[in-house]
Amino acid sequence: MSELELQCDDGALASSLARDRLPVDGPVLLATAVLVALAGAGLAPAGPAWPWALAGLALALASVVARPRPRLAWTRPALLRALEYGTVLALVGSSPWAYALLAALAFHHYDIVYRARIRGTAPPRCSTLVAGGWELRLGLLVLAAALGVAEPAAAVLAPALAGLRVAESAASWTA
Amino acid sequence: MTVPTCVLLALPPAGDAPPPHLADAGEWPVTARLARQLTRHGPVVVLAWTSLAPELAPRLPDATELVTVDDRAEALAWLAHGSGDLVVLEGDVVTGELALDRLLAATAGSTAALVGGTADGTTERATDGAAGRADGSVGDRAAGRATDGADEVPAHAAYGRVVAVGSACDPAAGAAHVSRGAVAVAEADRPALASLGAGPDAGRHLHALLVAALLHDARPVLAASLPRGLPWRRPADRPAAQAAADEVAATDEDRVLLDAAVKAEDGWFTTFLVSPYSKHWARWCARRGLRPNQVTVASMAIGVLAAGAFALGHRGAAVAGAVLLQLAFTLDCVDGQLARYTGRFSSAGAWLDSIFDRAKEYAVLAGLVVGGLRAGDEASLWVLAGAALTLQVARHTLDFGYAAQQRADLAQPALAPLRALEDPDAWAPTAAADETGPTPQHPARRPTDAGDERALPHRAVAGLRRAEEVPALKWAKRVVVLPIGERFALISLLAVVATPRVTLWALLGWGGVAMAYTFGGRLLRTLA
Repeated sequence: MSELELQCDDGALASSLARDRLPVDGPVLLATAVLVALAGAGLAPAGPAWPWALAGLALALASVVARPRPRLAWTRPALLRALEYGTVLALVGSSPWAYALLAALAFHHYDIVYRARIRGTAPPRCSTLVAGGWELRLGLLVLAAALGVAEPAAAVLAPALAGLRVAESAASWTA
Repeated sequence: MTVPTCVLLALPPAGDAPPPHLADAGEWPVTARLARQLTRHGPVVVLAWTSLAPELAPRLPDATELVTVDDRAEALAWLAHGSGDLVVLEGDVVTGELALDRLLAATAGSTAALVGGTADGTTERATDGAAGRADGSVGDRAAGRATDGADEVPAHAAYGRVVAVGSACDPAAGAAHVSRGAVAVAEADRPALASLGAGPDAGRHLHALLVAALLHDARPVLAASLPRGLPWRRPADRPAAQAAADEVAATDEDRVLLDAAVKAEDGWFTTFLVSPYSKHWARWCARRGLRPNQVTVASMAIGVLAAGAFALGHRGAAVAGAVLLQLAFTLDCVDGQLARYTGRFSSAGAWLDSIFDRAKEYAVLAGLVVGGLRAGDEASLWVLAGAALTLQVARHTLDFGYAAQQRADLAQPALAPLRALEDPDAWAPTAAADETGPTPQHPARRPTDAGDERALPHRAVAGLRRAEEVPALKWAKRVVVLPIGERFALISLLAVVATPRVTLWALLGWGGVAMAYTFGGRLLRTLA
């Protein structure tokens, strides 16, 4: 895995899309994303943010399949962060748990990058699978928001993610 | 870890002048002096021309082995075959024991070349006026360099690696590094030294040929550097050798180490308002046997106290919090300076330093929000704090992504000669606390781009590069990008005179401008 790919923090879904295992291509997936967003907006009562978050997530997944300009590939991790963290803020709102989840996510992301630069190691596959990757975490959060339990979900996710990262990091440093 | 064998090269070009290796520097000839300094580190071998052996042999210290060779190919073959790590130095180097200690510590077990450059002020000045001797395929670029005619080998180093050396360097990219005459070769990389075929003599720069051979064989060569200001001379004749030895004896090594402990390229606030006194704290810590990690932990603890003070909500507590935050930041500078002063680097320390920087900032922002809520503000402060956190994460991630792409480009040996230059401080692990964000001084050019030199991106990048050479503009740019020193100072100041809401909006506003500026510059460079 290249350093840039490591920084993207792709989960199982995004990785398999990127490797073209699904027999679809960019435009098709994009059209599907738009349809999903419209359906979500139609089903939900006026107001909530989660249909837009769902659309954003679908678009981001569509971008995984489409080929971005290779010269701008370095912007991809930052865009994914902005999407993920922005979605957390939009869905969980003015709650300390939103901030806590962001802090846990930041610790997760910085730890991966700093360890890669300083020691040249990446976290093991099982740790990445459990942490979910940006698309699965966001999917979970959108689902929680649609069910109206965004804030409790954040309250659970934040310490869980932080705990996972601390444990895995400590294991890697003492190994 | 095995003890490396130090190999001194006494292979001067044939010529009229007596070789500097035999010139007296103090009591001993240059090569013998160097050999004596190295014998306490491990086995020392002197690799010399057969013609020099009669004069050199009697004056070498007893523990040294003398190996004679007749031509370049034989020398390379001897170096390539054998077991154990090597540290190869040009035999005409005059330096102090501290520099050699640091060199061996920095290169232990790895393949690295010692580089110096104008960025850290260690470019060798000409001691003999013998400008631009064409010493074969490696040295013939030296004549083309716009320095004071020093007889040195240009090198390119980026992201802590040597990318090109000698004639492979692109002078148009403004090579700011030189190869100083020392190359460490790990045992696994020794066979690569024989990969260059027969060729002209390299004269005084065989070490550069070794680097070229390693790069040619696609072996990574790290860029090692010494603390700025430690003397390292390669005199060309007798008076220069004596002058160099005198210079070494006259150096106040403690003073040099202390000044070199301060990062060469840091933020404005840190460089002018913190480092002048924090380096003395670093020396104080060193004298009491404190380790950098202890200082890092202390800095974090004080940062948490600052956050707690902000959380109390009233003005007096905010003042206390501001003072504590500045104290925490000063200690944050001290731990890196302590590591550089004592030469003790650890990867765990670098990681801890970086992670705690983030943790301090997040704790302080949370403290501000809690204090603001207590003072009557609304819960939307959490969103503002989250947005400030997100902005900083986005900015850092842009830095990381850009650096990753640059590093990936560098790793392709075919493209190695034409590459961007980077902060030479990248060698030390503490540079991983990459706060100001690496913004290349020069554009990266890909050989496939015919490159329309008159196109707007090219002109804009060239204009930016020229602008950065004006000191006032250079520092202004460093402030605009809002590095950690400026951020903590901003938080401290506004916490005292304004409300948490104002502080958070200021971070968002200035941070947004900084991100637009940095991103715009990088976009230009990527598209140029």
